[in-house]
Amino acid sequence: MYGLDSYFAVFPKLSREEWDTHLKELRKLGLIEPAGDLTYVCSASGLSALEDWHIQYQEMPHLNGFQFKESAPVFWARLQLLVQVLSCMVHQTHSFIPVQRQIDHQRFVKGWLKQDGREYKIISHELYEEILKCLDRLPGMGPELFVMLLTGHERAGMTLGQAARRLGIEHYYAQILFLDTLHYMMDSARKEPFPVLNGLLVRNEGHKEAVLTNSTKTTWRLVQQGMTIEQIARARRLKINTVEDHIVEIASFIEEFEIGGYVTEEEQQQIIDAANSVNTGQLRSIKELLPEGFPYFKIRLVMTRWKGGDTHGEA
Amino acid sequence: MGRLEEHLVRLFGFSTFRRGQKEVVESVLAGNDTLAMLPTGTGKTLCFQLPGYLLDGLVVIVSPLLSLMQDQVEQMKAKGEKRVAALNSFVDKEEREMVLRSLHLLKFIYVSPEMLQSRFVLQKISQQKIALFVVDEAHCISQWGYDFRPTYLRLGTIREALGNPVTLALTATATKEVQEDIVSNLSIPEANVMVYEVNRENIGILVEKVEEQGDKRERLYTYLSALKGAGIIYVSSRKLAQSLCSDLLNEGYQNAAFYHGGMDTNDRILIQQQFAGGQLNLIVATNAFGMGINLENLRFVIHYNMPSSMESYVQEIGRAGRDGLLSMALLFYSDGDERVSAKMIEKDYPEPAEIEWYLANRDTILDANSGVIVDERIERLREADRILPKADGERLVERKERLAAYFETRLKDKLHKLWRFREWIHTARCRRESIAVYFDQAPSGGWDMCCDNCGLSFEELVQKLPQEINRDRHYQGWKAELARLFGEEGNIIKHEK
Repeated sequence: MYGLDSYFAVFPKLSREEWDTHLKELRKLGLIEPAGDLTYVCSASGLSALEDWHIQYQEMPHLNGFQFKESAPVFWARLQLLVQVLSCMVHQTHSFIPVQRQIDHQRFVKGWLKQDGREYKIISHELYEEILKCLDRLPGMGPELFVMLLTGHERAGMTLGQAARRLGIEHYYAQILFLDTLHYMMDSARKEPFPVLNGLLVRNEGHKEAVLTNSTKTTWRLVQQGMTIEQIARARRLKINTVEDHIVEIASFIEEFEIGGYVTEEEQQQIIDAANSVNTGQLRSIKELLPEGFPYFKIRLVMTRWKGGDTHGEA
Repeated sequence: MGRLEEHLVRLFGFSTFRRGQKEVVESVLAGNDTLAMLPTGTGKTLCFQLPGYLLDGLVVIVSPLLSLMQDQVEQMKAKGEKRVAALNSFVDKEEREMVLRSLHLLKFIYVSPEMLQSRFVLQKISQQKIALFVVDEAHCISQWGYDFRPTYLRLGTIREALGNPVTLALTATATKEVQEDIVSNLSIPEANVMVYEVNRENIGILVEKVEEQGDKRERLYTYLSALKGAGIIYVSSRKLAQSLCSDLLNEGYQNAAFYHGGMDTNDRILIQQQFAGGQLNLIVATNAFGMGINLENLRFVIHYNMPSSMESYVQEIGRAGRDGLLSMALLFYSDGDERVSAKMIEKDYPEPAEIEWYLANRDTILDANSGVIVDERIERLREADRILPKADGERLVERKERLAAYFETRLKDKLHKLWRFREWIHTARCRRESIAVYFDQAPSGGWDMCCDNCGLSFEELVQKLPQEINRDRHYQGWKAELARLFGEEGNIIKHEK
């Protein structure tokens, strides 16, 4: 909707509180200005700070959170394990504790190696060449960070926090930098002759539900059991706002989800009319055309279904 | 060489038993229910693994430590034993079903007490021939123990449901009262009770009192600069673990990391492996979590904050010196530490208002199948609610009072243990003697490198600690490291840009 696809799910563990804290900080520093409910824009000093940072921090052209949200962790887990297995085998170490604990990843790698059938030395060499080629094309600290996280013979990989520290960069930055590198590798694995890396890619994306965040999935289950937003908020000890966020997420990804339980037909029509006359996705503009006190939540819900120009509401 | 020693060499590669192991193994092989109290570091795993191999059937091991369970399974697998699995809430449904279907192919199964409450799981396991029923951390069954877990109370009934197999109860820390409680709760009145000295001769015990909380930091840096080898620093909160670690890194201790229960599982495994491989030699851990660390040559354990009981203390310092060589236990104390600990303990216990809320919502939104994520406190309430006997026609008000009384008793006991430990900190008596007395043991006396009350000083102890070689591999950049990982060092020249 807002051209932010690349950044989708880049910080899955970021809590609402942390987010709000950062927003507050940016405001205090005068780098952003409020522009309506829950909306901010860059101030003039903010824009110039951004320019400075562009020089200091490198570009992340390969980041594609929306595309790789589900598959990236799986690919990474498989790659970590495969590197570990091959590294140990090549050095004649037959017993080791797998760096990835999840059984399905372990099973996948085992199965993949069996099905490939070639000697460890050969597969190892191929994978080495593929990773080397990929990383060699990337500028900056991405490759360094990536290799620091690998586990193998006589070396347990670093955690992201440790690697960030070693490289002298912030944790958040390291996180995106790593994802940028990983997404590039996955993209290359799809398009280029990298058979080993390609073999580690996730084939089918699975249910639509898989796209929801874990917390939203839980809310979705409770919604399906007939609980209201207030009940869910109480049971899960969450803020109403948070549960509303979940509902919006569910509406965005699950087509069959009926929003009629949260916005009446009449209200939906009002919102659509407003959106059409403003002809922009901007919530603030739409809200201005609606009666005072009209909840943002309802607007957001309807907007998830609005196809820009479409005038059909939902029952 | 005796028969058992032959098996020991063949199966484990050790030529001799550690103190207590052989007797426990013999007792179990003779078909006796056994309660074994072995000091931490004795290697109690062997006590059930060896007999397990020599007996026909499945070995069922009950343990309360879920993540530790997983670690142990991984370690067994890495050593070549594939017929092992774990059943606990961390294991997903699919995996669980697979394990239950393939029980006949397994030799060792670790189960959490919660899992065993499931009739289905119990049924499946009881269909197997059970060689041995092992209750690890058996002190958890006793309300007088320092780590009481209500789900352990059902183990007596569960044992019966499994056909009264030969039972081995293991603990490192149990007073006489707790030992009796274990035997009675498990319904093994004829059990062989084998108690070994809690004392670990090779660990020098030091307690240092500082004036202010702030002084601890300074003293710590001074001591760390003299200490060589791997060590753990225990702290009382996750936040402190992270911040102390951060400070240490800033002070130049490159090879330090924190370790606690709130970490990402993958990160936790990496840190563990780094420590085991010598990439790290200093871990700052929260008390509950130090259990996952299993280093043979851990040289020192520092308590930055006091543990909540003598039992915890002994178990935590017991991590050091598994190789039998001289090691150090150092505890920092400053006035008021016990009040901080007491507050933390109290925080863990629900207040009447919370109990009311729980009872009001128990059957609706908090129903166990609703998929609602509950926090630890609610979970504890639920557990207690399940275990406490229900009177006929008991009303909610009565239930609330009952639960409140139960938690009040638990809290009182815990605080009592804390004060007893504080007394030990302030004692002028030999520390080892006091520890022995706490566990109803007769002190054997005459220890070398004993404790600060017997005149042992840090300087003296640190000098005698075995020299350690710090394995410091120099990281040479990503290309070199990648090549090394894949054994391609010879090819690296070809690829230079």
